[in-house]
Amino acid sequence: MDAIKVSGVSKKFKEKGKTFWALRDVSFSVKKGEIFGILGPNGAGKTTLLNIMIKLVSPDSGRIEILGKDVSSDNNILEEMNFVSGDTKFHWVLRADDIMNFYAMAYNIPKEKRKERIEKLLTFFGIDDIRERKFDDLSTGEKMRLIFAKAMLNRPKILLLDEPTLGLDPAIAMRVRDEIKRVNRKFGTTVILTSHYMNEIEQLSDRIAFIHDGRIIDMGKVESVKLKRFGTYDVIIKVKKVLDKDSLEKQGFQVSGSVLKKRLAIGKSISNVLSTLQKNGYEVLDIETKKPTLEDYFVKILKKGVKPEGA
Amino acid sequence: MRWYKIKALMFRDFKIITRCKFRLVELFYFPLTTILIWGLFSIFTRNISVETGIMVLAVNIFWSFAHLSQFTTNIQINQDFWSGSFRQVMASGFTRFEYMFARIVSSTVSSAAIMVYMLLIASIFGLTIFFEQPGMTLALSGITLIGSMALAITVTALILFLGREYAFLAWTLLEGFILLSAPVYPVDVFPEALQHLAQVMPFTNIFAGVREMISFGTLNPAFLVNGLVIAIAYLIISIPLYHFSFKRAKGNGTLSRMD
Repeated sequence: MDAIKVSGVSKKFKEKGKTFWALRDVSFSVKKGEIFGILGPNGAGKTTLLNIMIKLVSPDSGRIEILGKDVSSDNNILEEMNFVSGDTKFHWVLRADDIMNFYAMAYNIPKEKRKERIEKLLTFFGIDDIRERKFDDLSTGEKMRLIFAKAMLNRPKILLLDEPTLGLDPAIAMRVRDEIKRVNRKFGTTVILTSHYMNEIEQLSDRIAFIHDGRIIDMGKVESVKLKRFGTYDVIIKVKKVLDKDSLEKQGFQVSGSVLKKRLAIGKSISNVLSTLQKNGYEVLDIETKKPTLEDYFVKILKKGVKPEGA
Repeated sequence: MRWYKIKALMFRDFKIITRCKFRLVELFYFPLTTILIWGLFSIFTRNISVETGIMVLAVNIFWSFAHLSQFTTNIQINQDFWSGSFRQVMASGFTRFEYMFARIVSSTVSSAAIMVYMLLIASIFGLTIFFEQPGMTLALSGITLIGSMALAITVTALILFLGREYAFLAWTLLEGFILLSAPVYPVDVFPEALQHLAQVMPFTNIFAGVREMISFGTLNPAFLVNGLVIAIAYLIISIPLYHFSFKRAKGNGTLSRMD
């Protein structure tokens, strides 16, 4: 069963008299326990999509079903979910335990279970020593961990993460990514993650959707999405000594000193290339493959202004 | 309406009040200084006109109560915008009415406590009629509260409609209504056109009732009935206004940009 099903969602906004599409006929589904990454440039429509899911924005058309329930008409569905954004804040004077208690009450966690669950979460995220400190007095890392602890209070089946590492230093961002993986594995939580950090999406997502100008351009597993736009990858081989440069060039190698470079079709193995070299008496010292990254994909899409498939 | 949601927001509002120094100042210091200033004024005017000072003091108590109950509701909402926590609160599943209702309840509880606190201080200056006639006091306070809440809901609707830069309406709109509600002067003081407007202000009958209680020791029930009808009319107008503004803000994206 799909945990999330988005069908034909469109949204237009007006700004300074001009109308623009934030989302155009967006459809996708996310399986239970999956991490689904949504990437795209700023203003692509990622946050609008999440805002529709948390009922802060109403769509012009289309429908979102979460755990089989229609988001627009079900008031209780948000209690099965949780939401974290990179700019999540709590009231500056509230202490960590006030914040946890408030959300525990808002999610109707029975009083007898509340204390125990809060303790466990603060320990799980390694912040059990901050409960009496005000939100404003916490370090960035402590704030992020508190935000994640709060996000797990209602044991959400769905976790929506909107640019969760935005503005964080690399060490904290890495910690946040670890937390996302940990939560997904430990609790089987379905995650929708938006980001414009390619490596983050690539590291975490089981599947991705690339969204641009409100449209989904590509969707699928990271490798298959890249394959749609890149047909080849490069293999760089360092040999001890080049024996016959002309012959290598005839075979499609670019030769530079003792470094050989060959472009292969994606899906084609490098073993054939290596065995040919070895047959011809080459001693291979080092091999490096240069597959296109998600970042290469991102840049290519934006440069070419690629249209969605079938558009 | 889910009671646990209301309870959760009330818990949060009270935690913020107790941990936020300027909220404590707003709730305790300003009412205290107001009552002391007008209480001392009532001592000064005793030799000139027995009633004048006490009347001004009594009106000020209801004026402060109206202000506090409206302002507390709106400032709680504004603080959600200013602290950047509005999206988080709403994402935990509050409906628009649960969100508003919780604020009204917590504001009512704190304002009612402050009302008792103001009346107690005022009794030092000889203003004891509100304790002697608790039924009338409760009725006047209840109607004041309904009018204030109607204004609080209207202010929220306006901020949602116009954007959060209009948050200043939280502490300005009520003052205009007070001015036109003829607090320490009768409606006849206004030019004729304004008199009609003053008659439909939410607090005109309250202030007239308070002045009558001070002057004659009794209260004409007509003030209560008219005051109640007008306050309820304001409430009936304010609720769809809030509903419409919230829906519009959700449609045009303003709601997601409030914090």
